[in-house]
Amino acid sequence: MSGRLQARLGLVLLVPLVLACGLAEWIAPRDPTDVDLRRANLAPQVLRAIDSSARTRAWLGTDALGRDVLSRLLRGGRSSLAIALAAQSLALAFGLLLGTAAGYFGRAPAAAVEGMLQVFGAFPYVLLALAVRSQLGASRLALALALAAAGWLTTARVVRGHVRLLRGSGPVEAARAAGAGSGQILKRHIWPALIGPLAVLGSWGLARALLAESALSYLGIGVVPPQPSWGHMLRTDLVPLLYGGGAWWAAVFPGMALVAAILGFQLLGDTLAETRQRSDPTARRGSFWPFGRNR
Amino acid sequence: MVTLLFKQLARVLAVAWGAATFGFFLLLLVPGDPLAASWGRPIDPQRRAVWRAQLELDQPVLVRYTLYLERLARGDLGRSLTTREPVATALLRRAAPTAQLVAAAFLLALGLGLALGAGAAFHPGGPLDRVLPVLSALLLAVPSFLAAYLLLLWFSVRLGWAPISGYVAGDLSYLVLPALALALRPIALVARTARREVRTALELDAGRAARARGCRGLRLLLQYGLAPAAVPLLEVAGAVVSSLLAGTYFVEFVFGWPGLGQWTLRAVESLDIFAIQGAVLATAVSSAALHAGLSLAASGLDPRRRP
Repeated sequence: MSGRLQARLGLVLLVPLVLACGLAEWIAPRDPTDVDLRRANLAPQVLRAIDSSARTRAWLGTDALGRDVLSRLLRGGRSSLAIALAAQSLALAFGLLLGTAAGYFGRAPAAAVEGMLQVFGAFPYVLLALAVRSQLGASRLALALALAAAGWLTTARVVRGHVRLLRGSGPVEAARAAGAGSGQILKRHIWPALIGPLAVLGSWGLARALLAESALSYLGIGVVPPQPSWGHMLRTDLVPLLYGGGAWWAAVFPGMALVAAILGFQLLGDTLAETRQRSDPTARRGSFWPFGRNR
Repeated sequence: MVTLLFKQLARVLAVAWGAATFGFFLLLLVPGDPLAASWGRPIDPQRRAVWRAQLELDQPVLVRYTLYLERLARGDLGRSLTTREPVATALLRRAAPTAQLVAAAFLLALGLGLALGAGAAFHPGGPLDRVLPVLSALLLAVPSFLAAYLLLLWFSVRLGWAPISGYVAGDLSYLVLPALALALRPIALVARTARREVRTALELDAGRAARARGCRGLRLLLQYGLAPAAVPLLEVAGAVVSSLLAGTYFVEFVFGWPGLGQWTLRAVESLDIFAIQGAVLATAVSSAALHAGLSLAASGLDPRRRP
């Protein structure tokens, strides 16, 4: 499949979804936490074309408590996307700082960062999330911090590899010979060269953060109900499907939205990585990782 | 190689110490009273004092920390506050199903991922090669809990091919769906790396020369495609192990698999401090040991990685 098609598919998935979720405040038809048992388990509007009274209007149906699925989808998506964005920004910042420290400033910082990578790498993100939650409580900021605590590792490894390569490169040697300090070299010659890899990592990282956020919310250690979230909608509405009952629309739509959003960011990252490989002569042929993943 | 082995061992020990310390201080700071949580109803102060003394909870923090490390060194992880079972025994009992699940998923990921990736790389521009990037992105985009449910709905509920949930030692039919659900993401990771690296290897001079000599088929693929790709594949195996360990929590939760992940979540719910410490330690050590093993294997294959 050509890169262009891949990019197009990614954008087609992402743009409407992100726009709709971003505007959720204004376009969500109802309050997503509004319970109304008289409206429970209404099918999506298209499936009951004749029925169009305002009381029972629900474009994507309602769940077992009569909450509007479309509104929950949009508001839940907004909070999932916001958490993922915050988490990934934090992860990129941590990763950039620590990776630079490890790659540029000698052996002691490198050893310290390597130790942190080892210890953090040994904990699955579920444990990190539980740890952060136990200390900071169950807020969205805590959730973003927990995801960032798991997400900075890859960024730090890649940044460290690139910084090590760049540190010995011609322009940096020349700048140092001309008397430039470390700060200036980092600002002028090293960080600007990292924009490409960071864009790729950021996009892939958003996909991972969304996935992790929904998974944690599914386990009940993410976003706190009654605040809607895709993961939590799946937690409550998937199980009845196993017994053949329940309202399939309450689980299928959030599941589709979740997969579409993650897939969109993943494809965007893939496209960026491919473009970078084609256009950047310093990128090693065939691999995005300058020294391989684990070093 | 021996120095390297000791280096990796030291690394695992350092991670073990880090995880033990992390577990200890984390639970020190945690809000809530573990004793009350495990007792389930109000405890009278006298009983509470006796209990705290038994568990050495009334000692100063540093004394507790040294006592704790001393016990760990003897392999004593304390007793669970809820079941009174020694944590080490419970961990061992729970580790077997999880190890089985992770091993099965690892083999699945390796087998299917290599087949897909190498197949795509062997015929550049062919149908598999064109579909694989998007197919693997899709596999990466489905969270494991959702994949688990989809597999359950289709293969257990609709077709009735596999049991819905549970675990029977030695009965592989219980293992298939959880392992597959756990393996989907790793399959994509392996397939992507294999496609990229095998193609790169086949385009190297050695690969092109072999093709010019008339080397074809499986021999070309194995000797000039997969063998040079072994080190990058070992590197991605590290990512696979991390992904598998993280996925066990969800897959065990959905399939009612009596493993370590489920046990950890339950321990956290009931604030069972010794069980949590044990679970944190066991997870960190097994993860570090697996990564160390992979790293050793990579340096065994690639002399440039030896000091």
